Amino acid sequence: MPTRSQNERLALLQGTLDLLILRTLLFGRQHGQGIARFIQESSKDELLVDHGALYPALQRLEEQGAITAEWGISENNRKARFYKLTQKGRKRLGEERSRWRRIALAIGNVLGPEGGEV
Amino acid sequence: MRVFSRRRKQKDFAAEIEAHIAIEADRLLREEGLSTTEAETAARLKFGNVLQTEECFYESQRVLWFEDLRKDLRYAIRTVRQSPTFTATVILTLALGIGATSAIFSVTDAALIKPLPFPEAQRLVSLYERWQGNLSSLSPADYLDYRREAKSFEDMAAYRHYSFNLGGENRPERVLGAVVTPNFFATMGISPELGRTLNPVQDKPGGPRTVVLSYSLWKRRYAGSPDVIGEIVSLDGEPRVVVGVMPRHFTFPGNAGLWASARFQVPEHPLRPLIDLSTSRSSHYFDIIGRLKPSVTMRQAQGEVEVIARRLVEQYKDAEEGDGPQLVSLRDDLVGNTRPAILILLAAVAVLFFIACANVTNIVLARGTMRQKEMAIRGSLGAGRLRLIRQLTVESSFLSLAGATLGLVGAHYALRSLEMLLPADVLPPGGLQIDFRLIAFAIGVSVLSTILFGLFPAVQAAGGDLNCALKESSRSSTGGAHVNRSRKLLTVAQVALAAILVIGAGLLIRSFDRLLSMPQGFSPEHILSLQLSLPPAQYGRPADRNRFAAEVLERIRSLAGVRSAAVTSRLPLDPGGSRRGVEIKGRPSVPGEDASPYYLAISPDYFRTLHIPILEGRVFTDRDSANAPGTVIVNAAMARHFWPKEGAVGKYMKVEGLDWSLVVGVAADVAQQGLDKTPRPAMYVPYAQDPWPALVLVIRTAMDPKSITSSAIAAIHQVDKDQAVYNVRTMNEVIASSVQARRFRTILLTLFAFFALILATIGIYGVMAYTVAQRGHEMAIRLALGAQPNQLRLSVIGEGLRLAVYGIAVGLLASWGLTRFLSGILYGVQSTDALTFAATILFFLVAAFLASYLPAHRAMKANPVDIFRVQ
Repeated sequence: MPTRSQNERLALLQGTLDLLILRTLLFGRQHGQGIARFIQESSKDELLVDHGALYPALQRLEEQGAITAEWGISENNRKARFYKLTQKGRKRLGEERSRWRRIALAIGNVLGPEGGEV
Repeated sequence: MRVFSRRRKQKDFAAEIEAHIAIEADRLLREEGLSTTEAETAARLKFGNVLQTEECFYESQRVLWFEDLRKDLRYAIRTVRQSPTFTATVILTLALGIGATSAIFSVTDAALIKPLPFPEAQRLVSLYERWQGNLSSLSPADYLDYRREAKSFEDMAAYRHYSFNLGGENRPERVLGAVVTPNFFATMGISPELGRTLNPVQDKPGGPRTVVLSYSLWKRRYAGSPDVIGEIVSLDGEPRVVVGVMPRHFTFPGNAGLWASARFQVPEHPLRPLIDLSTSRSSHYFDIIGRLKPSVTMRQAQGEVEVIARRLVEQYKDAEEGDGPQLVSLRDDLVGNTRPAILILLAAVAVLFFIACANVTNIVLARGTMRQKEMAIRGSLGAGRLRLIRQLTVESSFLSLAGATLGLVGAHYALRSLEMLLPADVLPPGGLQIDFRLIAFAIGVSVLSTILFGLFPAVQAAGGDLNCALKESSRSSTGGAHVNRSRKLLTVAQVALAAILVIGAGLLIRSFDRLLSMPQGFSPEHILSLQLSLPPAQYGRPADRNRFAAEVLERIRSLAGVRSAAVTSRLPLDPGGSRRGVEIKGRPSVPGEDASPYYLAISPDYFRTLHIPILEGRVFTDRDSANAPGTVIVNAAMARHFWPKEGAVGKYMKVEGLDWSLVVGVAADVAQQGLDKTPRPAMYVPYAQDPWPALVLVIRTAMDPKSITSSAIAAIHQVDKDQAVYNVRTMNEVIASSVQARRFRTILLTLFAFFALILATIGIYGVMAYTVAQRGHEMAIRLALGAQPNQLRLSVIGEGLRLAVYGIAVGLLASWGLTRFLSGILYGVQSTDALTFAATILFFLVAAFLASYLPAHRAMKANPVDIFRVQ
């Protein structure tokens, strides 16, 4: 059984992680390690992808048909499972992206201006 | 969620993780210059717990569904704790709905649904004779003819209720029971617990006198000893052999404690127990139960007995046949009177339940609107729509189960009070129970309520468009228009349903009022009544009974505070009673005419004691003694029927079993059969000329009639120390018990209507409070721009009243169509009674005004600046 704290983090990350994965795959097919690496680097090391969340997320997206996967050979000749964005995934990325922007704005509004905390 | 389908093999997933670690190790090797082993270890460390990740994958495939449910439940409990007022309102409203539903269900269940405790009870039927719109007993000769000729029946038995004096001098005790024909037990299909039942071979008429005991009498009086079989007991002073004990559940008819074999082919007459009335076609004093053959339907059997009846009429030209035979299924016979009333109560309770559900739905909807933002954010964080619906459903299931539990506890106590209100003949032996099926019913009801009030808001909330929800959060002042409309519709429906209940209750209250104000024909104040029964062994001869009655009356009259006293064979308002055939001198009998008026034996002071007016002629005096020429007094209805023009006084008539008698007076009609029954022809004969062994003493007192109870009983015991006195009641109590069933349903329906009105008012209040809260911003602007507070207040109240008016209109229209189903239990009131309808309109307008005045008032008192700040 996973611990409670991990579970809550999972729930919180779930939506955003999906979005980030889809965004990463926009550049072409990639394996899990590459995706994690890309997210970490492009967020300037702010976001550290929890692998315990990454693979279930990949699994979920695959089941939803947003991505497909196949075994292939990596640049250093390693066997790896490569993920690729589907047409459906592409469309979903567009939706999720604008949705996220609105939420971010909304949450920003709720939190109020910087320094306005009680 | 997928529980069973696993798309990918666990092994495949493990391989992918291994690949991940290998690639990471390559990178570390290349970029950070680590050794191969170091890189591998670092990569593994960085990945975290491989096993746990695999486990996670496994769970996402399998256990997630259950895990989510647990989370939903935890979340539901947290939500419920955070808003105690909301929770309490919902649970209490539901408990009321479920509690009332369950309590009424168990009454209905006891009376209508539970099968009768006899084998193949659906084949058991009672056989009656239609008579002036009522059902009446058959005569002995008719019964024997039907029994011999009807081929539709396996068997047909006769029984007569009787209360026996059991045990003689040692431990005298009154036991209710029945005199039955020997085939009675075979017809009912019941085998004995001990010994044997009666049978036509061993218990032939004229054979040894036998008796069968009930289980409870056997346990109580004979300590459950098997030796009781063969014992001789004294029944009404006559020795009888105990031959058997019946099983615990068998107490038919009524709550019988014992069954005595009949002396003749038919049960003997209570008055003339030694006379064989088997050939009489005009005495009607026992009931008939038959068992249909398996292949025969009620309709076929009814057809057959009617054919037989026609043949009997032809054969015995002078036979008094009533309006033909009537079969009634035993179940209908036992619960028939209460069936429509119980169905109406059931409908009322369903309506109340729906109102309660509507209320809860409204509350949850309002909360759902408030939680729309929460739902939107949860949705955006990845929670699926189904998932949200499920979470809300878990929440409402939790609430409805809590409501059901509380409701069942409430129902338990409600049943105890219902037992006191219910007429005794409806109650099953052992009282009303909350049984397993009731609990199943409550759970079923709560599942229904979950669907009703849980899913609707869930779909509403979860289906709420994110865009819309977020927009609303910014600056809108109206909005949620869609949800608002459903809430208003629900409120209108609630008011409509409640209006139907209030109108129904109003009609019943009006009937009850009319009934109690009906002329009773006598004055019930200051009257005490006591019942006595003279056992044939001690009082076998009429002279003995006469002497007893005369001595008791004399002693009673000499008591302080007694104005007058009399005996009668039957009290007014005590339905049933015996009828006797009559023959009128100089008037040929009309075929098909009913010539069996009700028959009462009274002492001379009866009319004076009850203040029954004498319209013509005289009352009885002491000179109308046993040896004097027969005299009779008829009531106005009988005088009208037999002597419409010429007047009754001075005419001669013959009452069956008596000599020719002279009609000496006409008494005013008395509500003998019940306040709601038109008085039927009835005749009175002097008690001295026909001393009835079952008699009622009526005493008019100068003060509270209850206060002479003990001295009256003492006076009776001075005459006969072993005489059992029972059913001691004031006449007002007799009246009250005669309308008990009616009072019961009136009170119950009024309670329902009251709760419905309250719930509907809460419903209007909820909607208006919510509307006002939503329009707070708009109102603040208006106020700031100089609108008059009164104007705004009126607009809010107007909106509340509009909801009520729509609801009332729908409710009144529906009632107009529905109340005619009530007409069977109404009395003296039209089912579209204008006063009731008008009062209902008024009630609801006042309620709606109050319900919308409060929120409006509060809104006006709020400071506009605060409202702007909130937004």
